[in-house]
Amino acid sequence: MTGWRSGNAGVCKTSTRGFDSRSGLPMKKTALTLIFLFLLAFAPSARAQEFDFDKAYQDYIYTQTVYDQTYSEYDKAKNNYLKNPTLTLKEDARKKTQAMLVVRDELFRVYLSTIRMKLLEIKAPVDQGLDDEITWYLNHKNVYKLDDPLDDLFGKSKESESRLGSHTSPIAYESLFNISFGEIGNIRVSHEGVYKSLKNSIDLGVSAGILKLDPFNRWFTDIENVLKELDVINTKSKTRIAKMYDSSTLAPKSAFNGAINELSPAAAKLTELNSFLTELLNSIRAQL
Amino acid sequence: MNPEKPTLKQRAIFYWTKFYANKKIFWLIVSLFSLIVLITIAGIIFRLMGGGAIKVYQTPTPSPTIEIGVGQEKKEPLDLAKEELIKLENQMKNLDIKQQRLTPPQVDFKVDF
Repeated sequence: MTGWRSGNAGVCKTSTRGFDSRSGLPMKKTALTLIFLFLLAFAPSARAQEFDFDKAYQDYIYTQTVYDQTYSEYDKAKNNYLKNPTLTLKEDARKKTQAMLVVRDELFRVYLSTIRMKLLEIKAPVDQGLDDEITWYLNHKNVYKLDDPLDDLFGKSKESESRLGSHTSPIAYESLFNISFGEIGNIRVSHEGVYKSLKNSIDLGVSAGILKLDPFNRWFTDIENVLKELDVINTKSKTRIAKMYDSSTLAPKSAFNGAINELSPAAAKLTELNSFLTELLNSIRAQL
Repeated sequence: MNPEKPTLKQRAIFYWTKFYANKKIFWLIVSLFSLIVLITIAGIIFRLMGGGAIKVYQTPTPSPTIEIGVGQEKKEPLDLAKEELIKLENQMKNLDIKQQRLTPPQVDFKVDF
């Protein structure tokens, strides 16, 4: 240690003059600025690690676990208090209730954010209402204060319950429908791309005299009929989900289930489309 | 003699001073560091300006064509279509129309006691 101190003193004696001198100080500043700029240049690479659906879903699963844990603690504390209503046990139950209510709001915020990420992933439009709900839960979880009496906590809990029924459930179920609708739409568009490419190959083959248009011209009609049937399914399912807002008596979950029942045949139609296109492709190859 | 353990700040000042004492090495490292920073910044600016892709201009003299070697195969539209159809078939198998993974959380609202 003595060595270090003497070494330090020795170096300082010769070198710190540069620091203290008029020309030394700006040099030190320049060097530090350059280091700062270098670190700044690498900042975008850190931002590149984006928050995607998979990460959001993991976050949701984790928050669900946290909620289950806090709920279990709340339930235990509540039962202890109800069995033996002392002030100490009441205080413990109050604290556990407050903690559970904060996590419950957080769970809904994370859940809605996960849905939002899924919509973005499949390039489906995100409704403004979904963003509004995320913001509402983000703000509302802060209304449960640490020193709130039990009655206040129960009152604030009812606000969340009311919000779920009036706003959150409709937007959540509509978004879930939009995810399914968007996924089916994307698969359909990709199939249409393949169909276009195959039709182009047939046209070129027919022009070059290496392919015959028969039976492809009839197969085109069958394929296009499947596409038309998909259009009908889409329209029916869209009409069904819209009923959620038309009728106040129809629960969002029922509207979602009804719309999904209308949309479900689309999966079978897409499978049929896929097999038709595979058959078309194999036939082209067989003729070449 | 009462040895005192130097603080982190003191150590940092010590090593910085030692480094700064040797002007030749100091400026050599700072210059190299500055060069790296400038190249990085230039790269970022170039990329932001949309210059990421290398533009190939037509030249009056013929350019050599790239030979496809053994083991490399140019993909025909029909091969691409086949690959796409297999990919789509797999996507359809994994399709969860009911969105069971994203069912709304089941929570308890009857919390009062």
